[in-house]
Amino acid sequence: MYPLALQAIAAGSVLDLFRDFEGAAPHTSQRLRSWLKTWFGPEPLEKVFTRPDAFPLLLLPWWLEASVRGSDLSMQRELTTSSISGYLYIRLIDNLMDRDAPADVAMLPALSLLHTRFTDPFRKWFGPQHPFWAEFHNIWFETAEVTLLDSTLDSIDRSQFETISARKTGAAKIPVAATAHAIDRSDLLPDWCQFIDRFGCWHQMTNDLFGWHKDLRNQNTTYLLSEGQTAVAESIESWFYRKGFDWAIQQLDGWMDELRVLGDRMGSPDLLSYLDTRHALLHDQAARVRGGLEAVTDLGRIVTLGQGRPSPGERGPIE
Amino acid sequence: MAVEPDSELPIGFSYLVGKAAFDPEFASALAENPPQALRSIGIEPTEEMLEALRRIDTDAIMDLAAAFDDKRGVV
Repeated sequence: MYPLALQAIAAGSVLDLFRDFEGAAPHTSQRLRSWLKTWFGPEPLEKVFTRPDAFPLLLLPWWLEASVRGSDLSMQRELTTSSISGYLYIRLIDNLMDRDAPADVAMLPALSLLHTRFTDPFRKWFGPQHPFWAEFHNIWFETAEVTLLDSTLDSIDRSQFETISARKTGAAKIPVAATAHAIDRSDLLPDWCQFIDRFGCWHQMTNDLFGWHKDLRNQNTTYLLSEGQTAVAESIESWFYRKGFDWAIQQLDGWMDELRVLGDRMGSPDLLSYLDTRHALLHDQAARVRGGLEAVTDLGRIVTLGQGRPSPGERGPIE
Repeated sequence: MAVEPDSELPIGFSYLVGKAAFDPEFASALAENPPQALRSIGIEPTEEMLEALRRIDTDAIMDLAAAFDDKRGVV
């Protein structure tokens, strides 16, 4: 899914970033490293950004440039360093806002380092009056706004999901906007931004789906759990196992159809191939989950109702 | 992970599926020693229950826990 050249760039970007941090702010750098290890585990940071289930943050500007001209590896390296730094900036804030995260407020000063490295290439490439900055401000402010709004919602309907929850990944438009302006093709931006908004729905629902039980345990509000709460006659767990999982997959398939239509007009075969791969991976995982859901449902019936194994394929309510 | 029993049902569906799908030790015990696993959550198994449990795909239940991890560390 990730070209070898981009994988190498990601590894180089991580090296650049921490060489810079360690030289200028060694204590802060050490705290950042410790936090990253707790959050991401032992996997090298560049691998975290190129996992098959990662948001395609590094791929989007790569695909955009490749759809217009050959890749400028030096530009892509600067963009990748910026994107990793910007992501970590947002992740650190999210961790500080979440209940179960490993970061603590003593890490707040590290945000200065991350934000500076996030904006470095943009300040280098675009003068103060360049139209890129208007895009930057709009996208960056909207991301902050929807992140704050999302954290205040007690319930999320489809409209709120699409316009608030799914837009939390909207900052991914910034490196895309930078690429579009750097290659003098800002006319392409509306399509790419629309794609990122739609992909945000797909990505957020995937996270909500596979993290549903953690969200339930931590009392996090999500569109998926809000939908389950409308099922008045049964628990959310029962709803999820009986109906909610398939409902979420249907929503994901709907967004994927829209993404393919959008992708078709963006002129990037690699992007379309990526969508096919993500869709196939999701359905492979869904098939495994359905087997587990049936087994757990059988177990629930046997133990709570003593009814024995239901007919194959049957998933009725269990209360 | 601690999953509390439902308030209305001593051993309810929510508790049971949470225990089976999100407590790997319980899922593993269910596969290896079903009577002991059930007793550990306060259920005295009947012969009929144990017979039915033998037909359950416990590997699939353990796969479920892997699928529904906490997504920590995903970009």
